[in-house]
Amino acid sequence: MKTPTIPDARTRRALRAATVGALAAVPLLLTAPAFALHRDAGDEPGPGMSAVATILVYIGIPLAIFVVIALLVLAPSIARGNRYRPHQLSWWAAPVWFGGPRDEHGDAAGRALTGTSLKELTAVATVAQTEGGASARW
Amino acid sequence: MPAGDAFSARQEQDIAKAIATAEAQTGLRFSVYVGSVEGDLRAQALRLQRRLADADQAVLVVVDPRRNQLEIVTGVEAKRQVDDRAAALAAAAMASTFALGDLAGGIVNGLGSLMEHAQKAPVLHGGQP
Repeated sequence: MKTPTIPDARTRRALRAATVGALAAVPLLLTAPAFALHRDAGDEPGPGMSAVATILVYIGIPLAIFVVIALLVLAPSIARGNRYRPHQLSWWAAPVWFGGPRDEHGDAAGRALTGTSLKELTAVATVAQTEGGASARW
Repeated sequence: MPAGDAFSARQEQDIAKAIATAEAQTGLRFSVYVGSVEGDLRAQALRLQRRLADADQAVLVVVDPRRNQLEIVTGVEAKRQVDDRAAALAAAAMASTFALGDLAGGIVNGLGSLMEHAQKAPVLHGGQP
């Protein structure tokens, strides 16, 4: 059985250089007509673009497209407003208490959301012996 | 100064619905407080829980999105149906959803978990005439 021969280091370097050189040369060769010294017959180039027109066409238009796409991507979240981000350790909204003390029991759809701030609370803090529960953090 | 609401109208509806379903299934009273809480969360949660009408039958979930903490308080009677293991399970379910940035979804999940794992209320003295 014949094992494939591994070319030595110098051959590999040469191959790599040749590949990179060829890859770079092909596009340059394709654009060769742009470097022509003499015009072909029937070749009638118009006046060159001004600097302003060049900037507008090659920078302005791509930028405009970029901005439009970015807006399309960002628009939904801008419309939705603030949103909870778990690692930001900040909270902007007023407290919301679903099923809080003030609302009437039984009317789930019409449940008033009583945003009771903790400072309003005057309940006495007695030691809890009987309530159960659990806690978690994230 | 608070800016903006914590939940959209749709999310508020979802949470209210989850509360109503859990209450209908278990006969307990469920309440959810979402807001920044100062001081010891457990103590404040107990305070809030005792303000509820029918506090003994109530289960209160306090979510502090600023500190990334939550607390579940089960009332004296409610504890018979929702024991601490069920509460811990629900707390873990909520925390894992909150960690993904979904507050409303986590609350709905947690209420569902509390409801699923609430046992039937033990009937005391059921054999007596």
